[in-house]
Amino acid sequence: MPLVRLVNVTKRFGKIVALDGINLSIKDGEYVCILGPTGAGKTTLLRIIAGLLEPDEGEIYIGEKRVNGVPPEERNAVYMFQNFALFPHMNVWQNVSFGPVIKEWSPQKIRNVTSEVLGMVRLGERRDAYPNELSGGMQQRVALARGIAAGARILLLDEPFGALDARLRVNLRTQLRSLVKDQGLTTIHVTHDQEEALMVADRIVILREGRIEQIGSPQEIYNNPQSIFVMSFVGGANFIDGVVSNMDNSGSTVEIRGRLYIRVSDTTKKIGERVVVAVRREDVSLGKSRRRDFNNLVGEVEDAMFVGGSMEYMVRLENGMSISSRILLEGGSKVFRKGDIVIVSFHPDECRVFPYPERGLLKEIEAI
Amino acid sequence: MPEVKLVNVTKRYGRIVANDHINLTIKDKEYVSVIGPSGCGKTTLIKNIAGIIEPDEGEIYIGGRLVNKVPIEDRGIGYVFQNIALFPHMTVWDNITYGPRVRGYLPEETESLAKEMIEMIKVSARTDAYPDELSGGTQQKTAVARALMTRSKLLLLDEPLGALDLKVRAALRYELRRIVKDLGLTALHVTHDQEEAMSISDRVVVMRKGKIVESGKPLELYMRPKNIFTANFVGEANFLEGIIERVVEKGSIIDLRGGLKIVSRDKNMKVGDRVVVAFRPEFAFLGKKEGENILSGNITGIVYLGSLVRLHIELPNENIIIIKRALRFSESLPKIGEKVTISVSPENVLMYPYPERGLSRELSLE
Repeated sequence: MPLVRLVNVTKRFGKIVALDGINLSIKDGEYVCILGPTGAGKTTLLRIIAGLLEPDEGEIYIGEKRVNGVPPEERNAVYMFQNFALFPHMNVWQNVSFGPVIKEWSPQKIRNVTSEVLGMVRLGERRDAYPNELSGGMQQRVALARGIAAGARILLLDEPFGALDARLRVNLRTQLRSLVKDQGLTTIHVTHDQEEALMVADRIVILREGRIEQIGSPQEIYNNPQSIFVMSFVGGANFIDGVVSNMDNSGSTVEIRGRLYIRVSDTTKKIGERVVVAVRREDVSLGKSRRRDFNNLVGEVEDAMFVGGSMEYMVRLENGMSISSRILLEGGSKVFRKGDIVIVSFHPDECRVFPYPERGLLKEIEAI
Repeated sequence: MPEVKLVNVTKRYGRIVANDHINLTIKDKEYVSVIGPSGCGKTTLIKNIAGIIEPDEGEIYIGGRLVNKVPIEDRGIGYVFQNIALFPHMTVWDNITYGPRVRGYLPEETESLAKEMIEMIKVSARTDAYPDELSGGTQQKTAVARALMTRSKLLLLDEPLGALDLKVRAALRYELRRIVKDLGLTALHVTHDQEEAMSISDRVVVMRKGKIVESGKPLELYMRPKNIFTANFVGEANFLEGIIERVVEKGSIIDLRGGLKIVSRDKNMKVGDRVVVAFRPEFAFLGKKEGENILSGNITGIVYLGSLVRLHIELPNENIIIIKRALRFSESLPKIGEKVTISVSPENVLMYPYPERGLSRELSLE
């Protein structure tokens, strides 16, 4: 039975529909990431679950109980933190015991719960420290401990690593995930960082303009994006505009700009249909010779950037189009330079074909 | 001509030394990024160059001219902040032409320069739009155009992409680099994002606790970091402790915990020295490769990251290492609990003296 359930939840701010008929069930113990660009409605969704906002329509259930109209402090399974908002004038012990104290538990119970929870997050020895004496990672653990001590079973995280150094973020993510998993907590984590979502989530919910665009495990989302938007937002890809010019049992041929042809394995479209062929950057290889059974296009390296572990290339093709390729450097990989003439290869099986979007391609992939 | 030179620049805030005798030269037309953990002094450094703060000691030269005590507006720099600082009540056009107008430059000249800049930054929006009608990325590009209207050849960028969504950030990197290179500018860019620094710059400077730890071309810094802190800060690495057992022609043979051995091509230390070896997760291959280090262990975790997979492998000495593989077409991967063999070339095994204050302290990012 799901622990958190949203049925047809809609929220408007004036003319803007921030959430538009959201249906979502989250299982007990699940780690779910809500992923989407700025303005997609992610924070609104989280605030509605927390009880900080009331939806205009629809129902919210926590366990079997309908919680519409129930104030946040009485949805006591839920705990939300953003920027690890600790009380700066209270030490670790006081911060963590805050919930039990205001709930007027017995002093004995408060002591037991607080020290047990501090032990869980491995901060028993820092009980007298003040927040500003702790590292970012420790503060985060204190905030988590405070939530658990207050009886939370559901954690709501809004961009919890937003302000931190990129390298540190990677470490904290994995720590946080194993901590909440060890405690059997249910976590709903809002982020705009696709890599973060892929790394920590059991399931990812892609939100766009107030609607759910796709739900799935990180692998499903990455391997089977249901739309150009999802493919572009998670992982990114080259999107090539074209028309299906031929089809047989093994696939189709798509004519692209400059009378070039791309072979794809997809056979679900019609001859003459306008389509978008999508190829992941990491599925595009560069070389000096043509690869058998691959699409091979000739181009000139326009830009070669080292992005820490991988090389990212921008290649201008003979038809004037640019295509990007991302290659993990694995010891002896060949590195190309700006100006090199290369053969760009990708396999027909790695080409995904989408119908040309109604509102235009740019609208689906626009970043800036 | 705007070479930037810092000589012994020191800045203290009370007991904290934010910049501790910094010596740094940024060559004309060079794009340099500064990275380092929070509080390392990178923001203080850029503010010293801009003239927003004055150093306690040391000299700052821009284009050969000593600029200590020279006010910010007379240093000939363009400055872009993290928090997009456009005037909200002015259109794109008015924002961009603001500087020259208040300085009383010729209207025709301002107009043609502004048109050139708008062309250069590829602002697709109308120039009569107000900032709140633009996306964050377009606002920040407008801020860059405004900074360039000073005709300055030196651009200081303080977390210019920090307030933007990741995807926008990745797209704007190319744009920033292109603008700087096309206009032949010198740029200093402070960022908390290592990948951004790597992809955008000619050279990356790594700072820690007020000092420059190391600087180098992105690829060099990643492949051959000169110290443990850099190796860890610019990307992930596996760190293992050991003692040099033998030094031979091809490198050093290191005795790891639990009797495991690993060969590094480095030969800069002697037998008996306590060392730390490091290799990057993507430089380890599954399977046995002739002439390489062969390690075996059990898979304890598998994490998919889109096109990549991270495997956690527990070695017989209980050390856990991480390897990263590109998910290739129809490649089969091991499962949790399975025993695997990996190969790492001695070329890719870096060796460092064991840090005085311990390894975990050296790896701390806080």
